[in-house]
Formats: sequence, C-alpha cells, structure tokens
Amino acid sequence: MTPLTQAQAARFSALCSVILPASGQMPAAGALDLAARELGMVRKLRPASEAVLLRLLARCPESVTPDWFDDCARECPEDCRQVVILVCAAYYLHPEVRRLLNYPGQQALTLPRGGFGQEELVIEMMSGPKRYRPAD
Amino acid sequence: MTARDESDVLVIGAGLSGAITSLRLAQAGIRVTCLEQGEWQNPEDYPGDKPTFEVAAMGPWHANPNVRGNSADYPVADDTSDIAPMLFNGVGGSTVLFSAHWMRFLPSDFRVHSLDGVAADWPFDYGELAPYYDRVEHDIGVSGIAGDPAYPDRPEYPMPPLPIGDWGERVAAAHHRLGWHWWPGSNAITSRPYNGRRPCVQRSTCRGGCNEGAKGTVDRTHWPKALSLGVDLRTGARVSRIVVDRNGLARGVVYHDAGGEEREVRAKVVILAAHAIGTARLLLMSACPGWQDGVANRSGRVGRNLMMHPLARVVGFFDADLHSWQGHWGQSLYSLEFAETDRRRGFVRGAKWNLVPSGGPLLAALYPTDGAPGWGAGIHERVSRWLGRSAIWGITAEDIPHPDNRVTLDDALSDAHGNPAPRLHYRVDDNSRSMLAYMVERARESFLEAGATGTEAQALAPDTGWHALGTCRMGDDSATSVVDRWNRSHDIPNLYVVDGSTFVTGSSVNPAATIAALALRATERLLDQRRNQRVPI
Ligand SMILES: Cc1cc2nc3c(=O)[nH]c(=O)nc-3n(C[C@H](O)[C@H](O)[C@H](O)COP(=O)(O)OP(=O)(O)OC[C@H]3O[C@@H](n4cnc5c(N)ncnc54)[C@H](O)[C@@H]3O)c2cc1C
Ligand code: SF4
Repeated sequence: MTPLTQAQAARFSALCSVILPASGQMPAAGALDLAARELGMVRKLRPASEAVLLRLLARCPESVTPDWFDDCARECPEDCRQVVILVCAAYYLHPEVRRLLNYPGQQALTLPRGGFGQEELVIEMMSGPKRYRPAD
Repeated sequence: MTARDESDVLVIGAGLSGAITSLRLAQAGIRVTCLEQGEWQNPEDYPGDKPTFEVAAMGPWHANPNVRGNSADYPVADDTSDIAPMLFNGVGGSTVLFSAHWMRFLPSDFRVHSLDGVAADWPFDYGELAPYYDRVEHDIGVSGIAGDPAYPDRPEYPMPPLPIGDWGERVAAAHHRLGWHWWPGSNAITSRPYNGRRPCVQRSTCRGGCNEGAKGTVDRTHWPKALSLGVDLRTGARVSRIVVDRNGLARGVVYHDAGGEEREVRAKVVILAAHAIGTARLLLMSACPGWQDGVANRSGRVGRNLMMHPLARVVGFFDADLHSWQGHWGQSLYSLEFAETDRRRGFVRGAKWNLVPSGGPLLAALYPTDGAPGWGAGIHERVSRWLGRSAIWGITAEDIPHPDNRVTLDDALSDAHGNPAPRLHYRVDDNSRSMLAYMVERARESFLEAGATGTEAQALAPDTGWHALGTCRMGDDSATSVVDRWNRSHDIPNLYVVDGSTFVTGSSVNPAATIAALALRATERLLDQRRNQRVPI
C-alpha cells in the first residue's frame, strides 16, 4: 500500500468534500486530512479498494464537483460505491467527527443490575392464554 | 501415494452440528476424527474491541465468504441467487459470526403440509425434539425467560434474559397497546457468569466474533471438552470426496491437509456436518461410478429445496438519545404476532420479527434502505437521525421449499484445491415477496405506535443468506428425501447428515437451536443403535 502522492492527496481531499460536504456542525471530509491517518487504516482492511481509488483519482478533473461525481457514478457505479465506502469509513474514524457525534466507539459496559425491562407486561402476558397454533 | 489412517466415526465440519455430534460421541467413548477446512480463531483478532470494527465487518470479517475470501473459504457462485450466502468456515463454523438469536421452532412448523397444504411435514413433531432443545440450551448457555404464550410450556432458561434496552421498552409497550405479541429475546449469550464465561458487555459487535466469550460459539462451548475426551480434530483439512465401497457403504473420505497433501481417513461411520451448502456440495462432488449424480442421491434431492429465509429490515427513528449503538447484537426482543398462517393476508406461513440495536455511524451512513442518501450532505442528516436514536426490526420470512431452488456445482469456479465451487440457484417467490411487503407495513406501524418520528425500510435485504437450509431433506420416503427421520442416508446406511441441510421446512425463526437439537437427537440414536448397524461401532 503506497501513500498517495501530493497530487493524489489533493484530488482525494476534493473528492471527499463532494462525498461528505460540511453540514451543520459537521466538517467537510476534505477538511480533515483523512489521507494522513484514517484512510490508511481503512485501506489496510479493504485492500481490494486500493486499485479502485487510484483509478478514480486518475479520472478526477482539476475541480471535482457534485455534478462530475454524479456522472461518474452513472458510468462506473461500483467504483464510486467503493470510494464512498472508503471516504465514509475514514471520516467516521476521525476523532473530531466522533467527538462531534458524541460517539465514543463501541464500549464494554457492565450489565444493569435491575431487571430486563417491562417485567410487568411480561408477567401479564404469561398469565394470558396460549397463542400458538395447535398442530395435532 | 495417499497417506491413510482410520477412525470409528468421521465427522466433516467443526461448526455447530459437528461440534455437538463429536462431543456426544466422545462422551460415549467412541473414537472420533473431525475434519475441518478452517482454523481456530483467536478472540484477540476479533475486530469488536477495535475502533475499526465497522470497516472490518464489511471486509475481512464479512459473513459472505466471497467478500471475506479467507484461505479457509470456498467461493460460492451466487449470481443466480436473489440472496447472497453468509457463513463461516473454521472451528465453531458459522456460530463464530452468528447473532446468537436462539429460537425453538413452533409446533406448527413440523406440520406445514397438513396445516397449510404446502411443502411437507416433518417425520416427527415438536414434542419429540423438545427434550433435545432443553439439553442443548444448557450446553450452549442461553439466556431468556420461559412463559412465552406463543410456545408450549418449557423449562426455565439457564440464564435470565438480557436487558431489552430503551428501544425495546418503547416497542414492547407499543405492542402491548396494539395487542401484538412480543417477548424478551432468547439469545445464546451470557447474562451472568456461566460455565467459566463472562457476562455480555453489550458492545454490539457479535457479528464480528465475541471478544469476551459471552456468545455461545461452539469453539468455546463444545470443542475444548471434545478435545479433552480425545476427539482428533484436524484443522486445515478440506474434504474433497466421500469414498463409497463396492458394498454401497461409506468407506471414509479423501481430504487435503494443511500442507496440501492428499490423505484418506477410513471410518465405520461418516457424518456430514458441513453446512447446508457445504454438505450438498460435497455429496455432489463425490459423484463416482455407481453414484453418477452424487453420493446418497438416488432420490435426486441432494441440493434441492434450498431455503434461505428472505429478510426485510425496517428502521424506526426516535426523537431521543437511546445509545442504540450499544446492546447485544442478538435480539432485544422478538415478535411472533405474524408467524402463523392467516390466509386473509394473501400468503401462507409467516415471519418472525427481531428487534436489534442500530449499529455505529458507518452503518447509519451507508445502510441501503428506501431513504438511503447515497452521498452528499444527506449522509450527515441520516447519521444524526440514526446514530443512537433508532432501532431495527429484522423480519425473517419462512420460504416454501422449491425443488428448483438448489445448490449445484459450478462449471468454472473452484476452491484452492481445485474442487468445484457450489452454485446457488435461489429465487424469492411471490409468497415470500407478498409476505415481506405486508410485514414491512406492520413493522412501520409498530415503530410509529412506539413513538418513532419516521421509518425507513429495505423490502428485501440481499446480503442476508445466513440460514441456508433444506438441501438434504429428511423424510420417511426414500424417493423424496435424502435422509431418514434419524438423519441417516436412505441410500448408504453408514452415512449421516446432521446439519441444517436436513430441514424439511425452515420455519420463520432462526435455525441454530433446531440444528443443534437435531444433531444431538441423531447422535443419541446412533449411539443407541451402534451395535445393530450394518457396520457396528
Ligand atoms: C452472520 C451469521 C449470523 C447468524 N445468526 C444466527 C442467529 O442469530 N440465530 C440462528 O439460529 N442462526 C444464525 N445463523 C445461522 C447459524 O449460525 C447456522 O445455521 C449454523 O451455524 C449452521 O450449523 P452447521 O453445523 O450446519 O454449519 P456451520 O456451523 O456453518 O459449520 C460447518 C463447518 O463445516 C466446514 N466444512 C464445510 N465444508 C467442508 C469440507 N469440504 N471439508 C472440511 N470442512 C468443511 C466449514 O468450514 C464449517 O466450519 C447465522 C449465521 C451467520 C453466518
Ligand atoms: S454484545 Fe455481548 S455477545 Fe455480543 S460481542 Fe459483545 S460481549 Fe459478545
């Protein structure tokens, strides 16, 4: 897995901002320098996407616009789908994005000590009639 | 020259059914060899406790062997199937990745033809399987609560149920108001310390393997005991054919060992536990003079009647912070309100609903429902509606078995040892499509009654072939079934099939509990009859 060249990184960042532009408090994916760390983590887990990404970056014009990406997705939907996955995967790994979403990742918790929830309703159902279909 | 050795019983596959059978035989003092094409998994490798979990679950830990592409996997040609195959090859089999929903069949599931005039009846009833359900629940470690009125009476579960979650409480109350069935989820997941296993930590990453050992996977629950009793479990051992002798008896199998060398093991009894796709493939692959259409296939039924449980999903969005990325990715609760036939609905049989938490931000961004944004600012909106604020109904339809839905061998694709890959031919029929369309609307009602502000649906989820069943149907008639009521081949008296391929019908509920109970029942019978067989053991 070779790091992106400077030119590729610039195009990648432009592409990122089309796929995930800024919205509300959420930053554009292109503003986060995902190529520096998160993209590498994702590429390691999706090695088959490597060639797809490089192919798409090679097609990118000087200025990547949503219209261009729309056209591209019509011409090569699978390549674009793979790149959307790469960008989203890298974006939602970024610590700033997780902080803004209030998402700490999947955590190990201690099971609550109380009941399982809605116990009274369960007890009521238990005392009701059987409802399975007789099979004899 | 092919290296050769011998055993009393040879089991193919170290997954759910293979583990149960091997352990029970070993407990009875039988010499068992089990051949498994995959390897042991190291729980430290499971992605659940790593920040990249969601990405890993879409790649190296994907349940689809074609996406995962591990060296232990065989490819499955699936471009002729509406549903992609999902399974795992390794010690523990598909339980390594399974979601651990642990459900018994309903009594009516054994009598589908008599009750509804479709498919066929099982050769025995619920009552006959019930004691085996009871036993396997203790071995696997199941949490839940007895008393569900949708079932006959049953003993208490080994552990109390896991919490149903904030989302579960809302939906449960809604079903109460609607007068619809619901019940706290029964899961092969520990809710307290159990047989040396820690309780679940609710990380919601069950589909990538359980780092904590809380999920009842047979590499933990069965294999250590089986090994201590002397079972010879050989990993990296891919079976390429079953050898049948001139007397019409299974003589053993030929396999490639981890070093790629071809070997033969001979045995008095051969037991297939290689999953409904793998078992049908192996029987077809073993075709030889005298068995041109595949071993044990005089009925022509091997590979046919494939069932896949077509699945729909409905997401409910709540205006509240429910932290719904946490929680067991087993079932919080289930509903059997629509599991039985009601012909006024326009289809026969029914569906099981299971409520699950809603995953992390990547799933929220990419999940392909009818409201999926694709790319652009819509993804942010989707994630902010979804993450921690939603729950998902998974809706599993009972599909009626059709002979044309089947596993065959592919002409072009093969595994690393040159064995032909299985090809899936599976079309979702009109009955299943009508059923899922109906269920999606009811599930939207369920969420809206629970206070959801909106819903999104996926009417047929193609990446959900977790429950392949039926490819070596059981029955009393050797012309229409592959094995008898005791899982023994009609054609070859010392060949057994104990996995999910023997299912006559698939029910709407998840199959693992029934596969497990069936494997135990078949093994008990084999032990009982061991001296009276054509080849005694
Ligand atoms: C992602 C996922 C989620 C699921 N969730 C649930 C759930 O919540 N509840 C439920 O009830 N069920 C669930 N299932 C289904 C359940 O796990 C399977 O039905 C069950 O494990 C099948 O048991 P089996 O013994 O037939 O096959 P498996 O457990 O798949 O084991 C078969 C074994 O045979 C081996 N094998 C195959 N061919 C060969 C060969 N030629 N040589 C050597 N070895 C071979 C394989 O490598 C494999 O290890 C799920 C499955 C998946 C994949
Ligand atoms: S949620 Fe529980 S069972 Fe699932 S992976 Fe986490 S600890 Fe294991």
